[in-house]
Amino acid sequence: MKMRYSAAALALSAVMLLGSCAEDNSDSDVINALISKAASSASAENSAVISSLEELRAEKSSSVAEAYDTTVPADTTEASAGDPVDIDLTVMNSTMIYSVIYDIMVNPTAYYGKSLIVDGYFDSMYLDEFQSRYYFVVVPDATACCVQGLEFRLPDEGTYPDDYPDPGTDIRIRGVLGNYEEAGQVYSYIMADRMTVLQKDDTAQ
Amino acid sequence: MGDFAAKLQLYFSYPFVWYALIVGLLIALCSSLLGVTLVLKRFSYIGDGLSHVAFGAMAIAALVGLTNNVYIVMPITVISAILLLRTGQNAKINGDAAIAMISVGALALGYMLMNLFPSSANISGDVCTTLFGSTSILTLKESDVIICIVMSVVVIAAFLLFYNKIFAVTFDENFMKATGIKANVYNLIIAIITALIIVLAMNLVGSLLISALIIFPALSAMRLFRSFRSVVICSACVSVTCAGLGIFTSIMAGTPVGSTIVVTDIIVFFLFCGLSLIIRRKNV
Repeated sequence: MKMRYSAAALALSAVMLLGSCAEDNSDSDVINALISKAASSASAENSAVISSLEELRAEKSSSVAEAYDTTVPADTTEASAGDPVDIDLTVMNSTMIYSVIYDIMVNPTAYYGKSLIVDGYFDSMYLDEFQSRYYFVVVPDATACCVQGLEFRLPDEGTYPDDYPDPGTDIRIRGVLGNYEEAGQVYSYIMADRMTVLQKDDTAQ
Repeated sequence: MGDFAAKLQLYFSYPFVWYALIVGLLIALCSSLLGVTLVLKRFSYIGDGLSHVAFGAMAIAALVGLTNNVYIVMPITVISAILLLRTGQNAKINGDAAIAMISVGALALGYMLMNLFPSSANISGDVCTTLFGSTSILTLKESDVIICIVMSVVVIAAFLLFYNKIFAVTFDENFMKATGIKANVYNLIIAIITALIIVLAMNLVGSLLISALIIFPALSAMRLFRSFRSVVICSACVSVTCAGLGIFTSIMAGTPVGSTIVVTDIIVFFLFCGLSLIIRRKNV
């Protein structure tokens, strides 16, 4: 039973490709919601701004963690602005982003300790078993039929939902890839030092 | 231009991009070799039929819980290929009807199994990946590449080794039988090679687009060349070039890999049709 839940914790970060996605469990509704989100977000490429800064600032409480940067960057190549990272997924197209994240998931040791920036949409899930909430940046592939996510943690986790954007909001995560062990399983995640809410037009697709 | 070069350098710094290119070119080469024979034997649609069988077999593999589905997909596809190519002429159900029957039957069975016993919460994603390839080619592991290289060597060696016999069985099976050569054995070899190529190509373009990989290069080559040898060589060149261009374009432009390769094949086909018209007019 514990194993099933630990697999569920990885559900969003696992690759939804070739049948290696999340296992069917009590959180399958969350996963299905994510999938439909991916499909809808991909089909509305030129849609209006998902969430404006003003709306977000108004909605969120004053306890927003410092790491939750609500400044929409003027350029999409943040890494090139004098603060280099090892893997800048924001300058890649969707096919490559998807492939690199897949590679990170199946071959994580090659990426541990490397800094990266990734754009995607925000989502989270809660597991009763561990009484923990997990946060993800989710990226769909070029055909928008598959999505995969990377788990991230902010330095000051804050409280959900007050300190986090709404599910489906486009975000940019910047941090270093690390891992942690839970119920005997090793999981990869981004030790994020910054989360930025993006406007739709700012995402590099 | 500098950006393009930088992006190119960045993308090709990832090993999986090289894996995709190697596997893509090998699959394109193998499929084009046999494509000429299949088109000339009027078995163009067997690729489609077998790929649907492979789709059904993949669903069974997922149901059984195999991590490497090749162990189930390969034997089922090979057996289906043998049944279709060997017994096609003598069976009560004719070749094209048998292909259609197996094709849609396997597709329906596969989809039903995927829905009844989902291996993941993302059924539509699984189906999409299997049917259209999605980004499978860019998610290959080193072991997949080794399997592909070994299988490709087997296919190419078999084709070169039995080139004369394949030529004979392609054009005049009855004459071959009359001269005492067992045509059925070579039909069996063609069936097995076809199944191998189908299973390999599912990673590249997905099961719905495999036929394009087999048919288009052969048809393009036939627009310009007449002899079997020249058509096979041209078909191989066209197929490898289109696969390389398609993979390169999809990596750089972010388009789906399988459909980009097929679109490149279609463009080359029409180019060759135009060239053929020009050459014919000049010769008149």
